[in-house]
This record gives sequence, C-alpha cells and structure tokens, in this order.
Amino acid sequence: MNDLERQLRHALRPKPAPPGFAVRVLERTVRTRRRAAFWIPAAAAAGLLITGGIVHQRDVARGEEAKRQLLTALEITAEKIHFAESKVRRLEALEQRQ
Amino acid sequence: MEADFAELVRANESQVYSLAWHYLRNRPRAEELAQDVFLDLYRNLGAIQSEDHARHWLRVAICRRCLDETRRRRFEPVNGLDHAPEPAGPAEPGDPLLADFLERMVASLGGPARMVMILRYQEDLDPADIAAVLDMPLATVKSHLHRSLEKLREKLTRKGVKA
Amino acid sequence: MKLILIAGAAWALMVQAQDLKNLISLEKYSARAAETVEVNLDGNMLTMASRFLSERKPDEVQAKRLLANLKGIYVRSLRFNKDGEYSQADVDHVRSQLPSPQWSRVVDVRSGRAGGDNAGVYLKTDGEQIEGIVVLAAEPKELTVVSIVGNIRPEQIKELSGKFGIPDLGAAGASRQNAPKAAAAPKAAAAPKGKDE
Repeated sequence: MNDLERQLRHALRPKPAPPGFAVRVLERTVRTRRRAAFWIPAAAAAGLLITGGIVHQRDVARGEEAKRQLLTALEITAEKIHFAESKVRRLEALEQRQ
Repeated sequence: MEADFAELVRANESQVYSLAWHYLRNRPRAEELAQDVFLDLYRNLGAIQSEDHARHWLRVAICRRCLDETRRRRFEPVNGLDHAPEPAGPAEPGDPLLADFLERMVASLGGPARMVMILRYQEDLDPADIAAVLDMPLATVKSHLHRSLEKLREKLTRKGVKA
Repeated sequence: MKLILIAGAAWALMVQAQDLKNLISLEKYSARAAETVEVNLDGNMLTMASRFLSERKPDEVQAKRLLANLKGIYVRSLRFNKDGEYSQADVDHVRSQLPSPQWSRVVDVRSGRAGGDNAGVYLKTDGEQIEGIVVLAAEPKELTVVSIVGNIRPEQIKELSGKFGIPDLGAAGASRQNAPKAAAAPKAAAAPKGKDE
C-alpha cells in the first residue's frame, strides 16, 4: 500500500457513533413493538367474532388485549426507570470528574 | 433476543454510523440512516445466522440507504471541496489537515465511486467483497478505485501536497 | 396526528385513574403529538390480564409476580416530532402532585436548561408499605408519566430496569466471535450500477 492509500485509510478510519446512539436505537425498537401490538389483537378479535362461541371468544380477546396492554405498560415503565437511572449515573460520573 | 440485539448494536454502531457519515458528511442524517438500518436489522433478526452475518447485513443495508439517499435527493456534502482548508505543505503521516482534506475529496466523488472508496479504506474490503456488497461488477469496482485514486493524486499534486 | 388509544375503557369501563387523571391531561396535546400511548388497567383488568400470562416466558412470569398486590397501572406517553411541544409547567404540575412526606423522591433529576431531560421516580408510602409509584420522564420529544397503584416491593422496581425488552446496556461486555463469512445479503433494492466519473 502506498502513501496515499495509507493516508486514505487514516482519513477514513471509523468514527465513533454519537453518544447515546445505541440507547436511541433500542428505544425505537420498543416503540416499534408497541405499535405492532396494537393492531394485531384488534384484527384477531374481529376474526374470532365471526365464528361460533362468540361470547367465549370475546372474553379471550379481551384477556389477550389486557395482557398486551399490561406488558406494554411494564415495558414503558422499565424503559423510563432505566432512563431515570442512566441520568443519575451520568450525573454521578460528572461529579466524580470534578 | 433483546440482549443479542443490544450487543449487535454496540458491536457495529461505529462501523454503520461511520459509513454513513463519511458518505453523507451530515451528522444528523447519518445518525438517522444508521438508526433506520438497525431497526431494519431488528425486524429481520430471525434471519441472521451469526455476528459476521449481521455485520455484512448492516454494511449492505447502510450502503444501499446512502446510495438511495443521493439518488433521491441529489444530496451534496455540506462543504464543497473548494471550501476545504488546504494542507500547507508536504503531507506528514497522520496529518489531521491532510486527513480532513482527503475526507472531503472523497466526499466530493460521485456516489458509487465514493462508496467504493469508503468500503476500501474504512472497511478494508478487497474489490471482490466491495463488488458483493454493492452488487456491482468487479471491473466497475476496480475502475472506480483506479480513477478515484488518480483523481485524488492529481488534486493533491496541484495543491502542492506530496502524497 | 396518530392517536393510539389502548384503553380498558374500550370495553365500557370508566376508569377512576385518580392518580393519573389529576397528574396530567393529555387532551390539549393530542393534536400536536405524533404518537400517544394511553393505558388504563384497573384491578379488574389486571386480574384478567394475569390469567392470560404465560407460566413459561420469564418476562410474563415476572409480570404475574408484580401483579399480585397491584390495584392499577396507568400510562400516559406522548411522542412529538419536534422539541418544545409540551410545557415545562405540566412537568412541574406532576411533581407538585407528589408532595412529601407521603411521596418520597427516589430519583429526581432536573435539567438546568430549557427543553432538557427531566426524570423522576417517586414512591408513595404509608410509613412501612409502598402504596404506589410514579415514574416521570420528560425528554425533548417525549413526555411519559406512569402510575402504578398498589403494593410493590423496592426490589421489584429495581428488577423493572433492564427487563421487559429493555436491555441493560452496561452489563454485557463486547465479545466478537469469529464466524463463517456471511451468505445472505438483506433483501433491498439493488445498488445502482456504477457510473464512471
């Protein structure tokens, strides 16, 4: 490899991702899962109502929907507790540096 | 699955972001595309066989998004070559001014040639691997490399910089 | 605006989310929010949800344990397309509804700059037992308030961090394994043919 190519390799060396990049990506995946969870149960419930055993199936759909809401709520809670903890850790790190 | 994905993000975030940044020279847009690519990976996680597979998948995806970006928007780097600060004299190894100048010169190349150069010198891929990533004939990759290097040498020489 | 409502009230239950109704009002932001998440699960809905939780999936097993002494879970979460779409006064209003000594501030981070991050975790106690938690997260483009009513142990709160799909980023060290070269590329539009300069 000649000088120019060595210098190109140096100039184009990988740059670190911006701080918090990974957290932002993971937060987007949570939002994606939440959005996906909303519409599928509605479609599933509609399909079930067409067949017999309507009352029972409706209860099943309600229960499944309640479960999805619960898991969504717990995901959001976990995400925001994690957010709060990371803020505290960051402040502690800043204080230690001073 | 979530822990695996988080690990994939951490292991590859620099590579993916950096590819977009060197290509677009626009930090917010580079981050946006890089995030989109990881989100796509998340949706397709079931098809990923290994860490190397993920790395290759991400590389292909970010290259395609960057190339699509310039095709759709005719995106130009924020600072053109004419505005780049010039190295004052002979190049020293690791000269930051030269490095910056070279980055901008690469960014001023046409889209496919630019991506070929970034894959060669950031990712250290050989021409055959670059051809596979970009779905481009090997001869075209080699032509881009050859012509781009010639162009860079010519520009550096005209500016009185030995490289 | 995309309004996504998840409401126990979809089945004609008017929820007395007293803890959350007084805390924050969504309506004035509904036109500006890109996405709204609202969850109202009172005791009956929690009982119903619990019956459908898996006995095998770890997250759902953990959720079932959490539910044992809970009376309600309420969430309001708004996401906006740009900064500055909600008022700091609403964030302050949430805090003002959580006075000591009934409420203890486990975490209370306030940004010194306008539009910065604010975060809080507050516990309601009756001396010995925890009666509820409020989690507040105010970010430039997102505002979230969670209220959990009922008896929840502090270690269960700790367990919530890093669970339910939120990985603990700090835990795992990076480890790269050498694996066979990749075989498949992602399905996407083919790269354009290279053009010479």
